Amino acid sequence: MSFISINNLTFKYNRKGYVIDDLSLDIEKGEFVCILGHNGSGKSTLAKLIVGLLEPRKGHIYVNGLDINEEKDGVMNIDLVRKDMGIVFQNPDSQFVGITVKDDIAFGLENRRVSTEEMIDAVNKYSEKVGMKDFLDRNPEELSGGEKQRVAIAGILAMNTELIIFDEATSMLDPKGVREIIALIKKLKGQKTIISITHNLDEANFADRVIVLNKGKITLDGKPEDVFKQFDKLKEAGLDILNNMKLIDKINNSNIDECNKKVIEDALWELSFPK
Amino acid sequence: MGIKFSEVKYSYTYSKKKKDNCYNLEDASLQIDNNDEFICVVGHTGSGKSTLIQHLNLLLKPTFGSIEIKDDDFEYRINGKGKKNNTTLMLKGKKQKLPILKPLRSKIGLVFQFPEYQLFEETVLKDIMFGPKNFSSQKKKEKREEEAKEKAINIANKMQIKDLLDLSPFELSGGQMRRVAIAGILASNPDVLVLDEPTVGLDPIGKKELLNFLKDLNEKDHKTIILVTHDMDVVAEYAKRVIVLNKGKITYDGSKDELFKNNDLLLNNNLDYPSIVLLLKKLKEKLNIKELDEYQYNIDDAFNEIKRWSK
Repeated sequence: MSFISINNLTFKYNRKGYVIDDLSLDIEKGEFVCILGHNGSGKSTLAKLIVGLLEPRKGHIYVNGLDINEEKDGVMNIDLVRKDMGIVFQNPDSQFVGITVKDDIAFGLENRRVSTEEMIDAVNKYSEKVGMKDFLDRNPEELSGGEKQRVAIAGILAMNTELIIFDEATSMLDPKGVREIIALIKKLKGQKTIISITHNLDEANFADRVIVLNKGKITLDGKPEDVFKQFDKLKEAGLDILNNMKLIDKINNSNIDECNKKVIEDALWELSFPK
Repeated sequence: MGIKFSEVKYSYTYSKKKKDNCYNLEDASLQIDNNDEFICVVGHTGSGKSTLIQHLNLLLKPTFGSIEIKDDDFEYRINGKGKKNNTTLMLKGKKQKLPILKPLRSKIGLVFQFPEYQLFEETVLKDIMFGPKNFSSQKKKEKREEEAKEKAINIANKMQIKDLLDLSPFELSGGQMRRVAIAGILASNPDVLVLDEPTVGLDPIGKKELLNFLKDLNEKDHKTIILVTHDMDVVAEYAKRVIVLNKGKITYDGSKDELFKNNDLLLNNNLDYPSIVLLLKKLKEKLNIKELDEYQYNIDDAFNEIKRWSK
């Protein structure tokens, strides 16, 4: 069985329509998956279902082979698999508990009753990994948005979870912050299973797999270079299209002579997907 | 409407006793007087953008330097004198004893970052009515309500949120909340609309809708739009004038074309190229074509330029 296996998942918040509509999806260990969709397409709801913050109306979610909404011998499975999952939320201000950066990174470990020495080691190691080692004694409130998100990521890395979910983790950051976080996610590619919910096409561009959600259903699922060719389906899902794809589309439908067309289109394509 | 800043300095922590006061805004001089300006204010986080725009409707007053804001009916003058400042108001040519700020604030609307956090009323309609009700000159309560309601319904029609009027603002999606919050400011019919990063957190379609709405307000209703943004693609597509801030100083005030063509200026201020310009730059390099003009600010122009070159 895949690391995450979702079968016929259905969810709605109230009597209004389904937010997740009979959705099935398998994600393998080590995969980097980007989920795209317009506001209200069900992306964040799906993330919350996977980490057990919401309970499905119908269907099943298996993580590591365990149905997260079932219990066995009086123990909820979600409690067993939660140690494998971490989530970075959109708003960098809404996920801090510590008074200093190091307290914050250590918070999860404290809850797991890890010894002080191990905790110090982990805090040092992972703050260095995200480039925040010089900030350990600072108050998180004083940090920039990008720095805050890096601290949040260090806290999750310290827990050594197999899965990290980024729920629009860059959408509230300035361009520098966005670049910092995307660079960090790139670094984690291959080491962890990553699900990133995003509007950032540059980020989706280097994922192993891109999934497009529309009205609670998966409308596209594949490698970025295949998904980004599907202009009609992307438009239908209310998504933006990469600039070079827009140009290729226009050039393709124009009266530019065929020879030039090919040269320009290939060049534009290679700018996004180098051979 | 005319706005003039003369060497405005602002410090959040000014003290006469301190030797080195740290200024968040320094020697800012600028003039905004056309009715159809579309200004983008750009700069790094902490460069003083928000400090600058909060001076526009006098939420902040200069520590030093002066601000003049004139309209047909009123004329404000503010001189910063350290911790204190000297504010005078002329209403219809008469000097007022109390320099009240209501007339100014009904003409210059300020939309904060994440304005949806400020929604508070029971219904969308009541929330949009709040501004006009407070700025109203009607003395009777019923009249005030009536007038505010009319204004709220008008703006709701225009912003296509009429279906939401009876809902609680807290039932709405993020994009809808944002629009309702902006409607609340527009309902008072300001001449100048100042927005602090209005598109952050919106999806690409929601972003485009909002920006096109602002463009219409600017072009059809001749409202001055002042937009704080980090997004160079927004600057490329919408700005008529760009003000760049860096460490509290205005380092550039002019056209976008001149800014984007000045490599050093972009670099020194930590600004990016718009994504289309960057793409065309790369294409130009890859295919080794010198004649292509990469300074195109939307997809259609970029396409036409490629077409022109390929013929």
